[in-house]
Amino acid sequence: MTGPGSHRRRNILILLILTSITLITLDTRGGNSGIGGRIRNTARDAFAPIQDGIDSALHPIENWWDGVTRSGDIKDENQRLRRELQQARGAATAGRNARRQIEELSKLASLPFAPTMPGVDAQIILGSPGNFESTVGLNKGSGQGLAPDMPVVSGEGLLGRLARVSRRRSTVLLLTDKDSAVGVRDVRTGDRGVLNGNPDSALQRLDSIDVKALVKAGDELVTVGSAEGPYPPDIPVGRIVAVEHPPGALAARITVRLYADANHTEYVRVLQYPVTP
Amino acid sequence: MMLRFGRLALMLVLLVVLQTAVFPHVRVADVVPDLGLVAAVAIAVRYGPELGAIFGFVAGLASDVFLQTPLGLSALAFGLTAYFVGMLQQSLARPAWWMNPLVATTAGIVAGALYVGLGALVGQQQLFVLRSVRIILLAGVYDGVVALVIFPLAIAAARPRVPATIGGAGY
Repeated sequence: MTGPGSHRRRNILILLILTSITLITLDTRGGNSGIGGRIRNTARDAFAPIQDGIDSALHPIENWWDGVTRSGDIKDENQRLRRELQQARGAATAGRNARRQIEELSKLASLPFAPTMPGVDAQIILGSPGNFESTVGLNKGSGQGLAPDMPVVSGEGLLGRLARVSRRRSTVLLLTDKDSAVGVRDVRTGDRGVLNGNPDSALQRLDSIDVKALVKAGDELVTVGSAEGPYPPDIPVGRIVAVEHPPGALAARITVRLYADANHTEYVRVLQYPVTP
Repeated sequence: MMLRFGRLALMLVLLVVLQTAVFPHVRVADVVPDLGLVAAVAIAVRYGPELGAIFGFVAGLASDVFLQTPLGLSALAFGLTAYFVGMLQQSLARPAWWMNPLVATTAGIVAGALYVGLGALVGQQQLFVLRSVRIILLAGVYDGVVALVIFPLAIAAARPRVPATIGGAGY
């Protein structure tokens, strides 16, 4: 263990650790415009055409698989009928998918909120490649006018904000991510709070709200908006589903169901906010 | 030597494409496996800790490019895990093929714990939550499943032109 082999081994280990620490430090300090950000953007753009191709190829397979998994009890039918049924269901799924896409695009075309704010419509093409973050990938990037921190909405409401943007791709940090927080206002009472991301549940927690707040289940929440923050005011966020007062607790436990759900959304609009003159 | 590194580079590109374009579509229990880590562990088990650690570092770096956490975090976790798996393996008999999923699962859990622990140290406190334990365990199991395919692939890609001598590092 003390020969030249073990020396080389130790040197490699030390080199890996020092290189990693240097990269982590540079990336943490540099952000999207630092050397780490530039490496990321270049690599993401380089892989974008491959991802596009695979995404297109996987769509029909997903439709077919959807048809197979929803086929129910067809044990008594022969092989040919099964195949035809699956194909028909795959086609039906594709048709339903097309109708849903049109509905989503129609909603985006006539957004009831932020009607005058310029925006770029984009398609969600990827989920997160990792396990510790709630993100989705969009097929548009800085080449189409997108920039980090711009808010992203679906036809239902706020979905999140852009965390990373390369020339052809961008990544949305969803409201459900643990690292996400958005200031919200109760439309009925005007009370303000902070909605912190909770990836474990479909329901989110409303925190930092006045202990005397008069919010109740059913109240709608919209973004507060601020000059410094990434979100414009009055974008629908969600609806309060429960207000509990645990014995001994200082503040009420308020749970919120978000309007926008990335799992059931394909098209989104990136709002170009703050609007530059 | 060049041919060997060419094969490893090609495999790395293939794993990155699978990790970023295919596996997000086939999440199981909302987790994806770490293909680069599994390949690095396979290489460490078969060809020693040095090559495993270097491949793990590069594969981790390739993963980091597509994640929100700092560049170098997965690289460090994958590199260290492959290194220690390689070191441990050298003092034991080479595992039978059916042990590979177990090795990959254990390595996946160790790498996940390192990722979360090191991440919290460098300011990624959002990783240090109870939910991460569930993710680490499930992803470890998924790593074990994909090891059945990735191990032979990685070992073939990293095979030197001259067969490794028994007990040697092999490169």
